Amino acid sequence: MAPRVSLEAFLGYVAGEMAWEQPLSEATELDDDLCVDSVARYELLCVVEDLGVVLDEARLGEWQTVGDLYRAYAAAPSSPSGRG
Amino acid sequence: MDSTDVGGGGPAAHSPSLEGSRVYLRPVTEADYGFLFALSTDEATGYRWRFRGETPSPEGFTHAIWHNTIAQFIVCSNASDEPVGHVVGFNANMRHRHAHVAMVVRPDRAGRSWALEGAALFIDYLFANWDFRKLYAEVVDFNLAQFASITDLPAFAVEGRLTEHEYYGERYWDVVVVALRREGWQEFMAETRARRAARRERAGRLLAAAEG
Repeated sequence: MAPRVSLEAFLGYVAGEMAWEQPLSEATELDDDLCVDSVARYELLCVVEDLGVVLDEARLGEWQTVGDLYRAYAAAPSSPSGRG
Repeated sequence: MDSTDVGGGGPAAHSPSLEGSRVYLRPVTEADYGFLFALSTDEATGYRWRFRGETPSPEGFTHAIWHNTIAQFIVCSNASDEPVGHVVGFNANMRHRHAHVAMVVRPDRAGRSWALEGAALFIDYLFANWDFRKLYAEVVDFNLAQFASITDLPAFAVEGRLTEHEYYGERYWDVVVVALRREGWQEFMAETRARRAARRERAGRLLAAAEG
């Protein structure tokens, strides 16, 4: 199983890769605070999966906050290649 | 060497892959007509796709789905092989080198990345196999917000707005014509690949630190 990064490292990585300037917290809302549309949501999915996991896309709509996304990442199975 | 000799030694010509990380494209066969008919008449998609709410006869439907079409594929899930959508290139103008593209996704699979990946595979395919300068997509105004982060990219340009052009849900809606230029698309894809490679390196470093 690929290691999981800490919440703090996750927040920094996601913010950097998505070029979000505002500081992220677990409570940051994807739609309301970050205006994530369907295209950005796909990019976000790829960003997280590059940490070596496979996310369940069927639950994409359930992830309302960055914290939801982190919990999904932490619980996700590793990708077959182990990383990204 | 004969000009028809296609033996080895020369530069390799190839079509781009029709397989992505989540979906792949395969040609439409007769066995897909039921799926395509269902998409075209579904309550959630039928009114804004192809027949715009009409319910064509089976014979008329078969004819219509091939009419004026240059290429079309069924979008299938890699995980389950089930069909999840349909991409079409049509109204190709070889003199002026442009065509139209359209895509629909099963309503019970909407909102997932399949649509974007399927569309990207199809656009690559069209630009690789025909010398189109531009591909056009028509988007009804109420759908445009979903693609805001795409239409902001330099590769895409809103080239027209047909005001109060189509009638849905008891009112008229604008239709926005979005153009995608070959050079812009290729640049965008090259940047995307480079960004992804760099990101994977950064992710790898982060994971190595977490491991250590």
